[in-house]
Parts: sequence; C-alpha cells; structure tokens
Amino acid sequence: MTRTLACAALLLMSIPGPARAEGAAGLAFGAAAVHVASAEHELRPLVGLWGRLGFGRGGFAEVEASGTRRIEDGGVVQVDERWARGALTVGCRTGPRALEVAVAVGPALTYRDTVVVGEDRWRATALQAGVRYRAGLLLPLGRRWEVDLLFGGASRRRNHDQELVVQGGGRW
Amino acid sequence: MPRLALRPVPAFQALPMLGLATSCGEPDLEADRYLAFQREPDGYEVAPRLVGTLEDLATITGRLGEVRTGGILLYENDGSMTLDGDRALDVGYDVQDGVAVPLDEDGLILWSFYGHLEDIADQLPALGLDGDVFFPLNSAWTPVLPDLLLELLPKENAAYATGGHFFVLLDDLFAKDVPLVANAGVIRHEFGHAVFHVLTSGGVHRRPPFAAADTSVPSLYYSSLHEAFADTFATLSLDAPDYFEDSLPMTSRDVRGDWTIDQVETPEQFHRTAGDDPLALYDPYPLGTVFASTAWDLREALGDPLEAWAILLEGTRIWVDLSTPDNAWALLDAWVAAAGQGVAAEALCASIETRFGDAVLVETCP
Repeated sequence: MTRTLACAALLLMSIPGPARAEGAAGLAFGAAAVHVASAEHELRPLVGLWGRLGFGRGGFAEVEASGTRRIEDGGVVQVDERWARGALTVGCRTGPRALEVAVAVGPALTYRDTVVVGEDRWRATALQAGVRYRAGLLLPLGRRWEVDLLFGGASRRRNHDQELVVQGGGRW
Repeated sequence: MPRLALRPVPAFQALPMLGLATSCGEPDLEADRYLAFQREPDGYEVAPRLVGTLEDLATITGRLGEVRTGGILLYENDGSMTLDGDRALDVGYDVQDGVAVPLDEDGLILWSFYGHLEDIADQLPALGLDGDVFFPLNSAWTPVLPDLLLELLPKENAAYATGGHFFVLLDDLFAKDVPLVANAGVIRHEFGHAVFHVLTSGGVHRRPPFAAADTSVPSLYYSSLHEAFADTFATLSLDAPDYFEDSLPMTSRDVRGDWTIDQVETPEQFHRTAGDDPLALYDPYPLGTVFASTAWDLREALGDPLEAWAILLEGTRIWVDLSTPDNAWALLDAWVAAAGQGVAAEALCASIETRFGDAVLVETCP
C-alpha cells in the first residue's frame, strides 16, 4: 500500500502544471471510521483544522489536527472516548484548476484519552504513531475560497482508521 | 439465544494497513486487575477484577481459551461448524494503579466476557461438571456468518457452535445498560448449550444428533430442549430467573412466568401450520421456557438453586441413557425419577401438572 501511494504521488507530480506557491487553511468536517479493539470500525463525527502550503509544480505540505469523540452512557458505565490526531503530509495535486486531484502521505500521531466511569473513575491514555494518507478532490470557489472532498486514513500499531471529510477554507 | 447466529463483513476493511506504523505509549503489562462488568446481588457494576487465568489482555488469551475476531463460520458436512480466517484481537489499554483500563468500550465488553467465563469455570465443580471437558473454549467475535437470514441482522446475539466447540459473540445494535456479551446470564446460557451438547453427543467435538438445518419434528424438539437446558443452566447457576432483563426487556424468558404448554407451538403444530413453506422458522424458545420454568419451580420449592440443578442434571443424564435426544416428555419423567421421593418429586410433579396438563403423562408422578 505504501509503495502504491508513493508511486501514485510520483506519477502525479511528474505531470506538468502551473507553478504556484499558494497557501490555504480552514475547517474540516466529516465522518471517521475508527478501528476499535474488536477490529470493527465504529463511525464517529470528526472535526478538524488544516493548513496547506504549496511549493513547486503542484507540490504541497499540509498540517492537520482533527478529533473525534464518542460517549457511551449506559446505566452501569459511561465510556468517554476522545481521539486527537496531528499529521504532517506531503503531496501533490494536478488537473484543471477548476477541479484538482490531490494525494498526500506523511507521519501522524494519534492521542487517545478514554475515561471509564463505573464504581470509580478510571482513565486510559495512549499516544500512537502511524502513517497518514489522504486523497481527494480540491474544488476552488472563486479566487479566495475552496472546498475539498477527501478520503483518508492513518495507521496505528496494527490498526488503521479511515475517514471521509469535507473541508473548506480560504486561499491566499 | 440460538445455538447459532451470524454477522457481516466489517465495513471499511478493504484497505490493508500501512506497514510503517510504530507505537508510543505501549501499555504497562503489569496489571493485576482489569475492568469488567460484574454481576452483584443488587445488579451490575463495572469494577476491577483479578486477572486470574487471563494471560494476555491485548489478545484476550488465557487458560480458558482465546477470543478471536473476524473470520467466517463454516458448516461442515457432519453438521458441526468451524471458523476460518479469524485473527487475534488487539485490545488497547492503559494501566492505572495496577488496573488495566481499556481504550474503548469493545475492550471492556470482551474482557467482561472472559471474566464471566472464568466465573463459570470456578463454579463447575459445585455444579457437578468437569472443567477439563469444556476448556479451553475459544470464541469468535463478529465472524462472517454463512446463513443469509441471520447475516441480514448479525447483531444482538451470541451462540454456541455445537461440534466446533466455540462461542460466537455478536455486538449490540442498540446501546444497553449491560451489553449482551457482558451479561453473565447470556454467557451462561451459551455455556449451557455446551453442557447439553456434551450430555447428548458425548463430547464437545462430537457431531450433534441433528444438523442445524434439520427442521424435522425430532430436530425441533431437540432444539427446544437445548434452549430449555441452556436457560436452566443460566438461571440456576446464577440464581437469576430473569437474567435477560439486565440487557433487554424480555418477560417471555422470565422463568417465573405462568408459562404452559397450551401457550406455545409444538413442533407438530408448527409443521401442520407451516406446511411446506421453506421460509417458515420454528421458534424453539417458548417451549424451552416452559421446561426451564418447571426447573425453576423446583428451585423455588427447594429454596436452593444448586440442589435443584443437581437433581435436574442427574435426571438429564438418566434421560440420555434411557431415551432419545428428541423425546421431550421422557425428560420430564427422568427429572422426576432423579428427584426420588419427597419435596423435590412433589414439587416437580405439581409443576408438570400445572404447566403441561394433560399434554404429558409422567409415569413417575402419582
């Protein structure tokens, strides 16, 4: 999978495009499919912040911070699971300016913080490193705004999470 | 809970994992307790319990067996079931003051399941059963199920795979105070199926008398007796006549109810009404509950669940020796025979007369 993504990125970067060094930043909303102990993927809401800086012919670096939360509040126990993820990815985009295709890959850190409230209150935390990957469509809205549709994921130990987000923001 | 039930291919698993992941914050494995749902006299609580026989909290592997995830359940030609393609669990957790705390709810539920299994193993000698016969007993969490009807709603269930000798555990569709797999009574019900299978088949890996797909009258009686025995094991070993209520409102399974044979459909009646309809399904639970309620009447009369269990287990062994596994009415005779004389026999006969009436003639009753 890593090799496939790398090859795809190199292929896309080799396609000539207009030189641009623009930046963009904004908010992201979507749905995360989070890998849990049972090997299931649980669907959860996701919100995030992102910033992108272009370089060269279609290259870009992107930083993201996103989070999910799930509260299971039963009569016997409350389980409050919070996730936060930070990632730095490098990628490329290509295609007509009206609708570009982008792919990116890079390292990610996921912080998990779970509070279990039963007869007492317990807390579990973990910091898990992995590989982040994203792919999707970038749609400019005029000269100053854009909205993107991106599929992505990140590995954690032997697990992986995925998500589908719509992100919007301003360009400069 | 049926003897078998099923589940779908987990969504979003098409992408293989990237192989470059590393992990920070690996849990301190020196936990001496782990969080679990535990049944107390006044209800359930989530509290630490001793690690005991659980040797690996991440994969849920211990002397009593291993919980695996995924895979596909296969029907074998001999009527038994096997699991193929399953893989190890990876329960994330942290340790706080020696207590392993799971990073998500599924970990809590699956640890609770193992804890219930351990409670059963501890109690088996008092129940007159040999733990070496039943353990290790592995479990399959949310495997793919081969039965289309069950695959459509592969949730809210648990099962014991006869012949294959493993549990099938499914997750809940709706949130519950006590998730089904964390309900001690549900797990005991499934273990009761294992006990009945051993009694009627001769061993955990022996072929069951009837295949799961067999819908003949004898097979349906056998299914009903399976459910009856499983509920008898659960209610008496836990001394809980309504163990389901902690998870689901299901008064139809409360063995204190006034359930009688007149209220339920027998396999013969089912065959008359269903005819050749291939989609008709017989519900073995109502008839099973009439039997389990009779067993509970004995417990009420004796005031001791384990004394009642000992009589019913002995009676079931007599029945296995003298009858066929589909002869439901002979089981009642054998239970009375095992009760001997006195309060137990009188209580059983009174219960049989009330619940079965003229439908059954128990020769051992006056």
